[in-house]
Amino acid sequence: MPPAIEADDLEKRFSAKQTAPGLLGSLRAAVRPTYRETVAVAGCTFAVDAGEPVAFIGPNGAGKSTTIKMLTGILYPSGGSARVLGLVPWAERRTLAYNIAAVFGQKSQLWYHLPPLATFDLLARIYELEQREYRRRAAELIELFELGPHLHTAVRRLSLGERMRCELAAALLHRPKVIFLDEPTIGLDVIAKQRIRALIRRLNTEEGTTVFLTSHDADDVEQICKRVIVINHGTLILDEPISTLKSDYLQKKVVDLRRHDRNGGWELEQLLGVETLEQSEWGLKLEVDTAAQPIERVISHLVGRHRVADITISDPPMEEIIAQIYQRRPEAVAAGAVATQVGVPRGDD
Amino acid sequence: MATGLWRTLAFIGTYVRLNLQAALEYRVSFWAQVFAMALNDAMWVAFWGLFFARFPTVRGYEFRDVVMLWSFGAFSFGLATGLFGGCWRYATQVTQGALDFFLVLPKPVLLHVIVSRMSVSAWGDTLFGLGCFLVLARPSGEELALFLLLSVFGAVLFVSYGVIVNSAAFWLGNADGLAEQVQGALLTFSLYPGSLFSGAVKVVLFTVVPAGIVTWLPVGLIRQWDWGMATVLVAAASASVGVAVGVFYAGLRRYESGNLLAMRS
Amino acid sequence: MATIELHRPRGPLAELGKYGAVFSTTVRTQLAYAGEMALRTSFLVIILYVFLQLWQATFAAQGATAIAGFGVAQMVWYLALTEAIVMSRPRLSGILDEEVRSGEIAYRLVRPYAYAGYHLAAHAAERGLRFLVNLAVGTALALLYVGPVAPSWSGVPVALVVAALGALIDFLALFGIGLLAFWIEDTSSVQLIYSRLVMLLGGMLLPLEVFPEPVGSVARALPFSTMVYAPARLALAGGDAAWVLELLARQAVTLAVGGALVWLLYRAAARRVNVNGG
Repeated sequence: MPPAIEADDLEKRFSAKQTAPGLLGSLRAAVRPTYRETVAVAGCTFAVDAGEPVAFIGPNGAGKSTTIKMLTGILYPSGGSARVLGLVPWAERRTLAYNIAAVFGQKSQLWYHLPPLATFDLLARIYELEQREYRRRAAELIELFELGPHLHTAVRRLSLGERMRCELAAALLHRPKVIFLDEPTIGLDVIAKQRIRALIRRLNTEEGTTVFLTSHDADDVEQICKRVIVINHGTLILDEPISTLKSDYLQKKVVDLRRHDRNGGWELEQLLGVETLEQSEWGLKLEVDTAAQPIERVISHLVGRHRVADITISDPPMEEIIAQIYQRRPEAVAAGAVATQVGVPRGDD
Repeated sequence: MATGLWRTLAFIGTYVRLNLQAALEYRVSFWAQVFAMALNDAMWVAFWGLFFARFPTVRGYEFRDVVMLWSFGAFSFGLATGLFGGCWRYATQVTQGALDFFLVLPKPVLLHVIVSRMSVSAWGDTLFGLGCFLVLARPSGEELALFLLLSVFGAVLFVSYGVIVNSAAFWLGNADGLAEQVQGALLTFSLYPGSLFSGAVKVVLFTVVPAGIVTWLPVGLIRQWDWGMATVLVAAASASVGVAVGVFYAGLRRYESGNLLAMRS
Repeated sequence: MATIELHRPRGPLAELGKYGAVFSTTVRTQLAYAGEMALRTSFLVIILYVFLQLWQATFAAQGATAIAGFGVAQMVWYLALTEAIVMSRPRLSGILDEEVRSGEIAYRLVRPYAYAGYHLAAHAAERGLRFLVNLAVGTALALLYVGPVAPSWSGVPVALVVAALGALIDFLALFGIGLLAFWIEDTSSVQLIYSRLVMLLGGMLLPLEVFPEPVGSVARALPFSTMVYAPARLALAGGDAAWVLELLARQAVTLAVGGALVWLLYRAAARRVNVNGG
């Protein structure tokens, strides 16, 4: 089985005309324009197997959207090559379009004033589905996504969670082999997020759809994907299975503690692998490296010495993990710094 | 009293300056909109130029009279929506419950609502109005002074009318479409010769859709001064402010009482 | 790559079918705005009334019974027709501008249809529906204000063809202006000016014969007149074969040249999706 997605040294530079401020600057730019080159994606190489769920993450402006746009054929790359389902996206965009789907959490593909079913009908025609096959597929998705009660309600009257399920179902009508998901759970409440994730997982395991997910939500990444590709400043800085990432980076836990008394210090000196993030008379925030120090030891240490009012243990947030990834990879940071100097395109997230 | 007035003016001034600054952040877009609106107005006047080239007089109106009508209408409308842009389009804010923002602030709600927005293209109307008057009507010094003075009343009437019409949203809910049409009607009639209309329609045009008072009357005054008509204009402008404030706050009580809640959800 | 079995397009019929589906879906969604559409026709009540008064005063002042071959009643009918056409124009440039700036264009480009084709289908649906509503209201008002006038029965079908081609030219222009969003900060100004040209030089308010020379001749030679003036004139007074052929030929040339220009513009724009693409 060939890979579903292949990118080889994929690169995208933008050149934007630079204008000095003021009328004089505008005039000068019109006569002799100076261009500033921006590297959005600086030579990315990766492959995704058919049926593999992969997270493609990175901070805002890292080059995620640009990469997705090149893989879906919306953008021409400046260099390198890519194949999705064996097709060169920008050369065979329309053929590719029949076989992939994209869901952008912040934009809707559903017709606002019409019930979701109207959009489904339209998409069936756009993707040239046979009526019988479409009916069967729609019925299947409607049942799976529990859309029955919402089918005949105008989209504007649906809740965000209901709408998102409809968006996802709409994207799946034509049985795409690859689905690009950009922030599919953004703005949803916890329950709705769980539901969307479960559906995506199911889609991936039952239909073998390749999932290419972008999200800032660590739980999305963890619960949907098996592998993570991290991009920053247009460069890939990590490409590893989630399990490895977890043992490498999620081995840290954050402990947040508040105590009733304020007698004495916190006495943390004897604990290895513990880093104090914040500290006051009443409260404490620690980061524990569980490889060096089991979390139970830290808890019993604290509980034994203080009258604890409240204690929470959590994983470090995604951004923190990313930050850690940079810290561990100085060579990637150095490469990134070059890209920063020439700038990152506006509006890319 | 004097400090109160001063503070209010300073408040308005600050808002106008901020609105202008915000609009100028997109400098190209700002000037494009201003220029396009002025050009738009100029094309209508050009239409009248073509019309009067063929038919020199229509019921006592000549080209110069229509020029004055357009100059005055554009200038005072531009002032009204350039300084108090909120007055023309706040029905949507009412239906969306967006007035909450103003209710928690220690400034008169109505003033705050209308001054909080600026119509950028309005400055195109203002510039066009003045320019068109100077270039095509070639006014005497006296006429120019009257034009500037009376445009204040024109602007006040436009603002009041906008406030009244948009306040329909307090009672009807989704009223922005209606408001837009009624305001469009006022603008349309304001820019055609008043002498075309008679009978019941004329009554409507001096009351419900007061184009007669907003532009025909002041332009008549610039052409020929008349103390009686001037008094009517001042009285109408003052009354319009009274009605606008009354209607707005009556509506606002409905808003605050939460009667609109179902509609807003 | 034989292991991956791909869906491929089924052919021209299925291709045409999808634009048909876009058309009918747009009609459905426009019906949600039916109230707004009806409300907007209230402007026709006003403008037709104003012009009825204007023409009555003008004819009286001239002591004429016909100007440019039209009486007062025909002038009002003329305006009813031209307004029905002009008021039906959707704000396509604004929609495109919004799609470009919000990045929604990405959603359109990942679909297996032509971007322009999608918009043409949606545009035709909105425009057609609006035209029907405006024409119905305009006809009713003209009947009310001035009573019936005899149309040119031979001219009406030609008028429909010319109006449809004119709408297509208008579509190209609006589409092109919308694409300018890839380069310029503000397309709404360009659109405003363009629309005013359509109104003024298209002869919306006055039949172009009324214009003094040489403005009248220039206006008649420009494409705007084929969108507004020509269909209204044809429907009311017909036209000789030579003029009709000239009109159609001019529209064909405008479409060919305009189409080529917009196609080039689109190609250039497609390479710039990145800059604004969001």
